[in-house]
Amino acid sequence: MTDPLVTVAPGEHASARRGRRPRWRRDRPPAGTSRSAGYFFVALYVAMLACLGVAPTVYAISLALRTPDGLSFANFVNSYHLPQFIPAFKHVLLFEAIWLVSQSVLVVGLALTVHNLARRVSATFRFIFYLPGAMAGAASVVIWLFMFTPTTSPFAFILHALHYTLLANTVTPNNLPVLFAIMAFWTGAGGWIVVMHGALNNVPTELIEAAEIDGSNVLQTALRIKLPLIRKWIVYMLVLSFAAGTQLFVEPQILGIATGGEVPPQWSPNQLAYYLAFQLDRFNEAAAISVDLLVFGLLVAVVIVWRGKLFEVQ
Amino acid sequence: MKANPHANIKWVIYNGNENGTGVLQSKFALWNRIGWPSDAPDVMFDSQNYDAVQLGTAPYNDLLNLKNYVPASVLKNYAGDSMSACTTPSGEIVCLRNDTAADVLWVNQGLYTQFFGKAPVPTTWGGIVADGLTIKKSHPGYIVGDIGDEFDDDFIYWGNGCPLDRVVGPNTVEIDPTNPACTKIDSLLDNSGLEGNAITTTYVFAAGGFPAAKVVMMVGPLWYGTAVFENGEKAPHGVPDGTMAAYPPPLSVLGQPITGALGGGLWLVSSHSSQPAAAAAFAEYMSTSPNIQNVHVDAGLPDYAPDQASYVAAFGSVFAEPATTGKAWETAASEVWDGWGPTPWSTDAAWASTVVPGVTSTPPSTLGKEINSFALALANDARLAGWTVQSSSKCINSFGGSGC
Repeated sequence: MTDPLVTVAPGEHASARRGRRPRWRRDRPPAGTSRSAGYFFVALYVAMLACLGVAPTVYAISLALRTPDGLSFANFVNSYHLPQFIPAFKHVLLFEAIWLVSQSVLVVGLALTVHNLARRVSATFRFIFYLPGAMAGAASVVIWLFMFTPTTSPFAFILHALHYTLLANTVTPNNLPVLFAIMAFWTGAGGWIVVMHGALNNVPTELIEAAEIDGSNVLQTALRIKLPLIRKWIVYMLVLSFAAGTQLFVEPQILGIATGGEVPPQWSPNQLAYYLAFQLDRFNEAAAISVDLLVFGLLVAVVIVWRGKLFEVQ
Repeated sequence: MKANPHANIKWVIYNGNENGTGVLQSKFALWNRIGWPSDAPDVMFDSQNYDAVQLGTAPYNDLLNLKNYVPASVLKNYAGDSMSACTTPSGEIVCLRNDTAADVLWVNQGLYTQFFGKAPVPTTWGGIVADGLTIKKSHPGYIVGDIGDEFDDDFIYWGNGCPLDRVVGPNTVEIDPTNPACTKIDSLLDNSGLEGNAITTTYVFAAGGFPAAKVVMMVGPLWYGTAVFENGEKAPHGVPDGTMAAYPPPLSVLGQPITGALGGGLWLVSSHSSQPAAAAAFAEYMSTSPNIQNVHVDAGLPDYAPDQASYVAAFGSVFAEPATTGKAWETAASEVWDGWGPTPWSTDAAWASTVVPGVTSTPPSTLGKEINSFALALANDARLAGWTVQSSSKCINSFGGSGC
């Protein structure tokens, strides 16, 4: 049984730049296609990766290492000592914790549920789940601005129950990680449900039938049979989502402008880098923070992939 | 145009508010790296008041020193100390003020006479609070002030001489919340019992509308007259023309005749312009000419003092008591305290992220409780920008606010 081609997830958080690239896995080319077509597409991909992925990264690293006294790590040290640096990383880590846990549980749960439905019903639900992710990041933020304002929100009853009468109340600093987790979930979950559904389709039906013959009910089948077999996909989702989450930018930036600065312009590390570069004209320290984010995302990805055994063939 | 027929000046109006959107900074930062394009504007109108000094000094250095182009006699005719927003630490003048947005005491003349008869309008913050107590008791629902907006630091702290944004040297700022000017206004307002009722926490630009018809008096910039009160909306969100009058702003809590300001625009001339003399002349014309600085063209009191008299004379019946209002505008324009900025960060944004959530929550916090977090946010912005912070507050001087 061949594993299908791995595709990049649709509905990816539109404000994120890519973290790790997925690697192509193929056993053999489909019958009827020549190898050169494959090389051609890969070559295109490599060209774009070089120009739009590798080159900017190299430029950022060179900017980060450049100081008036030659190459050194001074920019990294200086940016670390800025008063907003640690709080920004704390904010984003808290956001990631809330978001990744809730997203994993809900996406896998919904995917398993949807997988059990009849085909057309399942397809309809997958489409509905996917729709929010089709909106570009900035557009979805504007929608959430309405949702968070008690005077215009369809969920006003929830906001009023929390004693929020103004947008300023909803967007208080302590609420921000939860708010961004909600927004990120809303845009990203649909696409991941589609991906998980695809992964679930690869679970051999013989296994499921055998389990049912052995007396397993739906819940047990889901948890004991299907879930372990899609573990790699969950790990894949975690890696990409984590990388995207560390780069959180559009949501706090737009929310900040809409609330007149209530979300500080240096709330997330990416915002801090942007502020350093485009408000204070200090591109080198901004590049240092970008490289910090890159290294951080890579490290976490390596750990997750290694522990999650992503590239082992079963 | 007639004086400079061959000049082809490109001028652009940029958006801007005091909350740090940084449009010009990002453009200039990019242009400084890749080279200024030939179609970059020569003259820019900008309403982010702290932009000029930031963009005219290192690392930007992108603004023309207008001292070499505009006669000194013109430069000294701007109201009061308002040109401090245009003066770099080394004495260069890098912008011309277009209009002033000084804070005055807006009074609904009809309501005031109805509630207080012939009593004179308050001249101190204590007087405003006293009137507020009367109103809270006898006429609940009416308003004497607002602390729910992100720019209220401009009235409350700037207008009282509280040093939270005071430039004391090159790249050095004093941020001292323990100063008596700060503590006195905080305790006056917090202990008044008016916060949340007669001193409302509703935004003046709230989505649901601001109850302008309930305002008996309010300290606010002079453009509030037509933008917040007589704004063309029907009661209770607006009042008709001829209802509001402006009175001189209250003395500071330490008795000084100073006031704050909110807004006003700046004319900036790029130092990369290929025709600096013409560009500077254009900026000077826009800022000082009575053809431009008149009521039908521009909505704010000219900062150029010689133009102010004809501007206020043209009020007509827009405001109640036009003579008093005009005089109050001119007085306020000359009283704007020069101890607030210009610094390359937005004090309003810091206020919005620290004080506004506190005072608008249920139950509301008080200004006295929030001032340390406000000052700390300002200190962090200052240190991020590479400035040194002077303070006698333990909270501000500790790293990460551990002493707060």
